[in-house]
Amino acid sequence: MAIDPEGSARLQVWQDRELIGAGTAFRIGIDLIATAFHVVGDRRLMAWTSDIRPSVRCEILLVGGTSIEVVPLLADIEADVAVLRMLEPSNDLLILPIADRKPKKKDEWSADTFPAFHNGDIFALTGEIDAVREHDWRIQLRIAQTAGVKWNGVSGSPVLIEGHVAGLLTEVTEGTSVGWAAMVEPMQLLLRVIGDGFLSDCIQSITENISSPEDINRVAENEQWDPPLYLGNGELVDVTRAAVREVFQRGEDPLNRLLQSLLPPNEAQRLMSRHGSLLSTLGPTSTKSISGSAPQIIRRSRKPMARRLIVVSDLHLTVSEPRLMSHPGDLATFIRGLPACLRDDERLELVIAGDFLDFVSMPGWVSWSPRQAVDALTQIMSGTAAVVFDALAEHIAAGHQLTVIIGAFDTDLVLPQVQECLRKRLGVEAPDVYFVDDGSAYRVGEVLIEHGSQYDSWNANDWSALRAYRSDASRRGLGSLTRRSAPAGAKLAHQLSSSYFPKYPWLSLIQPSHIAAQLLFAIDPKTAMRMSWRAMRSLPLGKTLTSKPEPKYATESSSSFCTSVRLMWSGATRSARIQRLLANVLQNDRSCNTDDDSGVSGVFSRIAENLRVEGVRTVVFGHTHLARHIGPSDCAYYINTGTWTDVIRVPIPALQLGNEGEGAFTDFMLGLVQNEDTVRTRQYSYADIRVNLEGAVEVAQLRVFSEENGFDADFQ
Amino acid sequence: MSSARRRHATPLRLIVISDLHLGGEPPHMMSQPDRLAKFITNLAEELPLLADERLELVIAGDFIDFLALPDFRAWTPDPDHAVDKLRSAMKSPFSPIFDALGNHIAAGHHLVVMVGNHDVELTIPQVQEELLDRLGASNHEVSFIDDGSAYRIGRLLIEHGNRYDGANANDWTGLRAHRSALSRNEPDPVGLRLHVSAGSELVEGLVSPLKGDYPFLDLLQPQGELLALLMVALEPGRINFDQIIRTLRANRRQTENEFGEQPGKTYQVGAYTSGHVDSELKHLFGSYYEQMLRVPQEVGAREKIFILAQLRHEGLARIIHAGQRIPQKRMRQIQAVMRRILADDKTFDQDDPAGTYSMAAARLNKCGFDTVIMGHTHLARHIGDSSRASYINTGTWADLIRPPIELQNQDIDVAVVEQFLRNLLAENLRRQHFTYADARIGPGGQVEHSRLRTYWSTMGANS
Repeated sequence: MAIDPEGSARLQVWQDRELIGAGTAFRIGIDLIATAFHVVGDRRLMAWTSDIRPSVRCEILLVGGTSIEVVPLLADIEADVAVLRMLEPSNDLLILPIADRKPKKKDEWSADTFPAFHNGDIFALTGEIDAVREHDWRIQLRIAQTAGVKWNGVSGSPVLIEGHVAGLLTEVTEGTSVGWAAMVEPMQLLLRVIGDGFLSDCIQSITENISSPEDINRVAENEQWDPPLYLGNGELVDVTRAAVREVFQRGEDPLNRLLQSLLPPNEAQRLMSRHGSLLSTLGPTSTKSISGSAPQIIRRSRKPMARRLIVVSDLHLTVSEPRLMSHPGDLATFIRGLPACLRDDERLELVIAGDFLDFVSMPGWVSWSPRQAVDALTQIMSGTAAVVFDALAEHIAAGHQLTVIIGAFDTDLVLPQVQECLRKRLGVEAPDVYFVDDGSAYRVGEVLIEHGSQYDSWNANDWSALRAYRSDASRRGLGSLTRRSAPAGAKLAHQLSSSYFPKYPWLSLIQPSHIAAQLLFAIDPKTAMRMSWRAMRSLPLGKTLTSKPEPKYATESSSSFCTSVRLMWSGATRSARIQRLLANVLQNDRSCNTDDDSGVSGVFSRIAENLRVEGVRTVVFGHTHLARHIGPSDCAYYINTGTWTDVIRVPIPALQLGNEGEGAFTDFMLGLVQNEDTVRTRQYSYADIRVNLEGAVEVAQLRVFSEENGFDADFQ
Repeated sequence: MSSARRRHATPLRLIVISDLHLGGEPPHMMSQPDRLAKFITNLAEELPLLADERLELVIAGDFIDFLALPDFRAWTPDPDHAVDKLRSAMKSPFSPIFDALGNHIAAGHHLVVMVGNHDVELTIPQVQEELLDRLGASNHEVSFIDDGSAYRIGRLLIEHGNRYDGANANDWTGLRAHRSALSRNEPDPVGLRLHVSAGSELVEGLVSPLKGDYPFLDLLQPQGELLALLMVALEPGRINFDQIIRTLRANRRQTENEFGEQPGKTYQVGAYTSGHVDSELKHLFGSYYEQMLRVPQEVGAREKIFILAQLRHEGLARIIHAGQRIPQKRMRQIQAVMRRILADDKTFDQDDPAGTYSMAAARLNKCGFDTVIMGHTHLARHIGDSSRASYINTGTWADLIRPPIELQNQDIDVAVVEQFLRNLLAENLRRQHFTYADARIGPGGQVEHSRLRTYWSTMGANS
């Protein structure tokens, strides 16, 4: 078996007798080798292959076909770097020196690899360095040997510049000449941790077991002090029995003295100060295991990353019929697809900006106790929307973030018991899901996100009452409490959902929403009158908002409604009257235009403008169900994230006058009355925002996810 | 990437500390920040954390002492000013604590910060952001309990405890509205005037101005009318005794609250008088003591306690610093007050069940919580079963002052009293008692164990 004289070796992962993985490794210490973590582990599960599969063993192949078993020791998953220990150290593999200078653009590099297409035999790659990314310790490589082959087997190769290791090859983009490598910093960190951990073991055994020079021989025989101590840059220090004995015979403070006698002064000081924090950084089992064989996976201290915010709202997940969202699987697909669009320097955060759930449509909602709210959530999470919660759980498990803003229809989410139930379903704990549940806006740098119902007198929550309600609930079990406050709009929706929505399920889906009453008048005037009476009784007359001007758009709808009543009785046949009415009402309708800045959307757009002061550049609302992007195309001032519920709109042909138009209108009305899926449409809109390290908004766009085509072509 | 997140089914190891009172000018309330930093740094190792456990550190109120930071105001509504105060509190000598907390989070452990009554500014979003920035964390890694709710984990409940202390209850409704407005950059939060607690007014008006001369003032426990009388003995000319008593009465009423309920707002609390007359105190303090017995006309947290600006010659600090002899009457006054403080002092009596807080805890126990944990009083407590307490008070990591037991003796030589006073002013009586709650919550929410523990940092071990 060929072996690279520079020090690389083929690394193979076996399960029983089956080869399940291969890569390249190189030696970085007496008994230590480095490779890419994904060769010997699963980055998604953050676990070594040997931990998730039975009977797995790893080996490297040396000169003459000798194989040496290697065992996992430490890994930096984020950097895709792993360090393994050779069970039988061998000098047949050279220790490669680590470069003492940073690589730079245009540096020439080489790597000896063992790709599968070359039958696992040595294959040299060369090229130039295209870019060095200090912020995430990555090097972009240009590869001279472009070939239409699969590059399996090259991961883990040492990227050599002037004979020194400058990086560790982790990826090659197929069909291109681009590769990526981790810089040496993660590897040095791992070496340092191994050294520190070993030293910690030594110190612990010394302080625990040695109280006199006579104890040294006894302890030394039982302790594995022979392996050398690794410091950064591959520097080695031997912790020998003789050295320890000498320290103790001097009768000085053993811990401090040992460090000072063995190490350079600055290194001793560093280790003394880090002795405690290191142990807690490594976790509970580390102190005993580092010098042993049990594998460890460490988290590198997080580097600041740009934030990629994906904002959706008004999902209205519920179990009551009629359901507002008919295809929850599309939402699950969307959530699962988000990480693929993420750039290397970005941290992904999904924000659900209100009305995530629709408790209001569920029976008995008005007088729920915390127990009933928990039961309702449990029902929702195990119903047809279960796929959404599965996807959210995966989202968080993969290390991405989730923020939930409370809206007008899911105020029960303020209860600690309900939040706990949701967290349990997602398999996380506080604060892995961040709830904005006190009426505050959610601020991320120059972005301000809120549901928006606070500016709508029908649906403004009484946050002070909700706070008191939550505070009370936090000190009780699941028993009954005083009633929580609810906005008038939600109360009305609750009444309508039990009385009218089962018979007329389209009522809550029709857009623009103010024609719902007009259509109902056309279909069932008696019911329409009753419903209108209820609605008028529920008007929050004289109610004031907490802090901002009231938009009064409910009044606007009411006036349209009065116009429609007049038109209804102005002659012509019933069908023609209805069509004429709608044609009149909708002639200037721009509610489906995402750049429309008039009517209801105009009111919210102006509120957003008022909020754009003192460091707020982009405002995001939901609530209206009308998706909007106002402002420059790449960086909106105001975005409304629309809704993921179904939407019913009167098709334009059905508003044309004449026989053809009347036929189309009749078809539409039939579909509406019979609740046919054909009249429903879906427009999955969301805000896509990138906030850089300084908090500045770089991109803020309204985008649409298609059930057929998925993400936009330029969503990346 | 964080470590594997599917951890809800694993046991939670909960460590609760409180009343750290970080910040301020020397002499600080917490004199040994390095001990706390070491405690946090070595937590996982020294517990020791078991392999199947997740670790969460809860700071249950009074993390930062904004009242002790210049300008010593009881409430700092301006976000920029509050952020500046926080920054000063995070500097030396307290910076190792924030380094340790940052490492704690970076190691994948959780941190929960509950707002108490000395750090209501932590409800301000800009202040939270500043703290997160210092810790290198996001709001998905640190939880703030900043709305008056209790923090509940399964059948364990944690709160600061000031809710049950009428003189120190927070105006959570006002704080929420303030926070909400600031999140939108609204400069004047709906014309809000926050109701600052009487206790904070007392600190702003009495303790802070006198702390320069009497640095032990915020450390002496218990605080109340006896402390007010002590102030009369120390500085008879500088304090407005009537106003202090009015404010303290709100507190007094709460200590008599036998049901442990949340009291009404401080400014609505009526006056209380016990009817008991202490003849020795009456003799020694005369009209001051009689004022204490009268029902005040009103009890108002908005009362501003007025401290005379000029130093009076009869001030005890001035007398001692000048090397003069302390008048006999003043010595007898101080001795009488100290004797009573000592007689009532349960500071180090960890299983003493008396008090509003343990009663409040008993009421919460009936709501289904196995263990209730509070801070606020600075008096560490463990009530109930030794392995699973029904009530724990986490005490304080700030310094405590314990007067010598000899002072209880009525016939004590005045020289001993004098020496005690000199030691008090020379800061020789400070003690530390680093206590914390250690609980393990099973996957089903059951409290598997909950104990009060003491950290002996010099020995590097717990007991």
